Amino acid sequence: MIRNYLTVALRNFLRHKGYAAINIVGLAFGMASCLLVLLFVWHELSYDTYHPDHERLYRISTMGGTEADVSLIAGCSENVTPHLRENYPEVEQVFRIQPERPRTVRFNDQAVQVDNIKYAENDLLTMFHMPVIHGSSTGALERPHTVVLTRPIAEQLFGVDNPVGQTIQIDTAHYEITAVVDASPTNTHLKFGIIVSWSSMQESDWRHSWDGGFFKTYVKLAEGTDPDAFESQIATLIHEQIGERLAENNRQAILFLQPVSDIHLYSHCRWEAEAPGNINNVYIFSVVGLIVLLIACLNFMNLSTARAASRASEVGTRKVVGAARTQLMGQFLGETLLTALLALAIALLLVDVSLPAFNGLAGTGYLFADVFNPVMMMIMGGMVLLVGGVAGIYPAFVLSSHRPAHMLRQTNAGHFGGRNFRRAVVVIQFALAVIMIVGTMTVYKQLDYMREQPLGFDLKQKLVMEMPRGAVTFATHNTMKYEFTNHPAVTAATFSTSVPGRWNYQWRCFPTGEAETNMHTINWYGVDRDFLESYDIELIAGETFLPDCRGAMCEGILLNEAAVRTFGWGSIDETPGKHLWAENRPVIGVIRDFHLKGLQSPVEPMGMFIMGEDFRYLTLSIDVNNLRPAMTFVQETYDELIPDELFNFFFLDEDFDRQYRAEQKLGTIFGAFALLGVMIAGLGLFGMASYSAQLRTKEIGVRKVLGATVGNVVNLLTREIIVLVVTANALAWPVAYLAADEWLATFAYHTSLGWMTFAWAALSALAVAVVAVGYQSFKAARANPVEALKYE
Amino acid sequence: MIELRNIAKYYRTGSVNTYVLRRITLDIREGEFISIMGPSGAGKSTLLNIVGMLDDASEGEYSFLGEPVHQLNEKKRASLYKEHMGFIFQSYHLIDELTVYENLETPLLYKKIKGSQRKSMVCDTLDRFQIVGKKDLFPNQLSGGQQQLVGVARALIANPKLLLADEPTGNLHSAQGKEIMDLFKKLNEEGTTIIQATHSETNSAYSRRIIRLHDGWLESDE
Repeated sequence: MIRNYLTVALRNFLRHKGYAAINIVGLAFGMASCLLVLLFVWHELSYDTYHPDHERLYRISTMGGTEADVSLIAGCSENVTPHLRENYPEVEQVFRIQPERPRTVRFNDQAVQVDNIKYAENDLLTMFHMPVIHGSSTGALERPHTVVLTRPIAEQLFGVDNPVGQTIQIDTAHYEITAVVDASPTNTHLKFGIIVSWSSMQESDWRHSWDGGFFKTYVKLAEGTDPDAFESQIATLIHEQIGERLAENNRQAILFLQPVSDIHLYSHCRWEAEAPGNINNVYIFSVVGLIVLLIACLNFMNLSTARAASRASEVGTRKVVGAARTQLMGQFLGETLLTALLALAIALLLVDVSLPAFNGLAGTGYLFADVFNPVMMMIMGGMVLLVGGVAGIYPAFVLSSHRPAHMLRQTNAGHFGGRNFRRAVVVIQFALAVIMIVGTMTVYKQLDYMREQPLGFDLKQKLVMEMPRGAVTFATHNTMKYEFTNHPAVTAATFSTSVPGRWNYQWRCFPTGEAETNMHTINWYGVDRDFLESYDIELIAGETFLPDCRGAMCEGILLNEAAVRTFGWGSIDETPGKHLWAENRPVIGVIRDFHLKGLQSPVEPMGMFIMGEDFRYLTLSIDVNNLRPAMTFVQETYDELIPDELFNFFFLDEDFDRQYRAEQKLGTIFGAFALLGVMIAGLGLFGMASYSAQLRTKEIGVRKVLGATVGNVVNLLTREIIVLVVTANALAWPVAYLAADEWLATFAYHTSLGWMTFAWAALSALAVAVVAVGYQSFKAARANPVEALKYE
Repeated sequence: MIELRNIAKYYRTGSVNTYVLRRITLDIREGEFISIMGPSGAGKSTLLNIVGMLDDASEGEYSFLGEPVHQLNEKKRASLYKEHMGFIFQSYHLIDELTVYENLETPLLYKKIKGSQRKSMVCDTLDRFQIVGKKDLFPNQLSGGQQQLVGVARALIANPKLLLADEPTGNLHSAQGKEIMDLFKKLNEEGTTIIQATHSETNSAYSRRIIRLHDGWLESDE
């Protein structure tokens, strides 16, 4: 019996190759995109869930600041850790980590730049899942000047050899390698290149203070500990130590726990170890993936149903020769399930092919084998059952319930298919497609908008070098600037502690003589005297830094307009002459607001002061027409001045554009899915058109005999589709408008939703529909009417 | 074997019932060879479909081998039908995707007959109708007469007591038609009850009882 069904199914496939291909390939694309989205969602949700007992791992963070200006900070005082170790039996393990700047790491004559160096305590190796490849995790980070390498770094420096016991050089200091651990997976918020023992960290005044010093601190609570109770116990720990000082300044420092597995998606503290994920994106992508799958499923259902209707005669015949209803239902369901299974196989192939591109886009590291984890397998099984089941259930029920006498008499099978159902499907498909097109266009429009807005400073033609710590001092920085500008293609040089788009200092200040409640977090740039001119930042009140100041003369600071507003001073012109706590520095001028960060957030209050240390960034203005000689010159100068370090640079415009990476990614994914959705919908329409042209062969023949021209017939066949697509647009626009508007509202600076976006979405949907239907209509209209009428 | 009492069939068009059959009362015994005759639209096919359980009567009682068909559920009716009846159509109604062999095999599959026995039954039938050479061909590779021969073979493969034929020769040349009718005659002599609906006086001459329908009424029974 099964063989009989399979034979019929297979021969049906072969007889209607085009239809079968459209059906299966469309569904396969839908399934593939759904699987990829699932992988992404899975990855986002799996962050830090792979550690042993991950539900007992927490990070201790601080809620600090004043009542008016609360901020969450991803860490706490360094003193918390020893205090917890000694006084809290419910703390099973605890460790601190502290990131280090990118450094040059050497072994013999090999040198690599390592971005991800962190100081950490030994408990890290056992609390977090870190498979040891060489050496042992026991005590690996106890002694000073020991390091644990991750596999990629070890392989770069030592190849496949076991490096345990060897000594590497980081900057000028030497470290003994005590272990090699596996590379950090992509789904952890804490990624490591090299882990340096905590005791190797330089001692300094700002460590060991209960006030400030934000070190990321992780605890593992003993089994059975109630995290809420523990949290309330430690919440006021800082206040117990330095309560008076905090109360004096009206400040708070409340400790709280964050489950480690929640950090990636839900924590938005200052100074996170890496840019956090976004639960909204998880939702958006899930919805988009489901939409594509839905479009494909509707296609599949639609085409399967239509095809099944034309098999009414087979069903009737089978009934006549003795088929029971259940047997027929089994046959149809089996057929659609089989088709869905075939589509799944092709979908897996598509996933395999697109996995590298997907990994690049989503920041994941999936292998094809990872697709076959039990949960994904269950989801795939469910998908086949659902899709195949739903697509098969209609013909299974409807066709098998009719009395055979009807079925056999049925010459125009179209009556069985439910024309309204098919129309509804087309409308839904195109509405979904239009929503996605509008979504894509909105994302790109916003990206263009953000990139084209004036930033308030000159972004172009700037080469920035991140200088190694200690390589430049106040005494040498002017000479260094002179050396780097000693070439016609380098027109200016300026040092600063930060450049736009990068990290900067944030300190709290309040105006001298005003209430302490007027205390605010201000972004600070330490700069040299050439910074304003080099970055073309406009001074709008007061004066800039004196060209040649000594000592107290250099104390003057500049504030931007946002800072003036934040302090509530009202007039910009009256601002110069005010003073800011803590060092009672005079405000000498006001600068025009410029964007420190991408246009997602408003311009924050910021200030500038003349730098005396931390010469971190050197910005060179380069004549791009002479880029090659300029680059050669800069590299040579660097190697000469700082021979021990690797030459490292970036172009400011490219670096700043990384602010928009999330939106760029969203646009790419949205665009890909929108394209897929429209294509699948178009493909389905093509299939439906050929089917309905076939159904209406007789009608077309009669019309032609009565004198209809080809044009009349094409018009007849396409008009309905146009009406459907227009309806789809009418349904999609309000939804798309609301969604896009909501998304845009999350940006501090955003573009408007023009009617052009909607017009383009409508036009492209219409174009796809007309092309899909037009070909079939034209073919049907051109056919010889005698052929058509001979059918009966 | 068949008892029809006041069978009527109508279709509802708007608020009016359009009658196709009116108060048909008829008894058919085993071994009969009956022709149902009448002009187009007289209700021949409808009557045949009701007797063959392919369609339901709107009114009246129908019992087949003592079973009240109008009271049976779909499942019982299907098994009764499967056991005792074979059906032949004017337009053959073979399954296009299946070969001659597979078409013949299909009713046996639905009767859940085991593989080896099924194979021998199909081979016997192919032999009996002399279509062994065509067993791997698809319906569209056969002539109309050959297709109808397969249709007859399929209807008879499970040895039904009752053979129902709706214009079996309607699409055939007269020579092909004669072959089919000769075959019917032979089958009837071997004991199969046959009811055929036909236009053709030539065909009806093969039968021993002729029922004439006109506008849904039973006009004569000779």
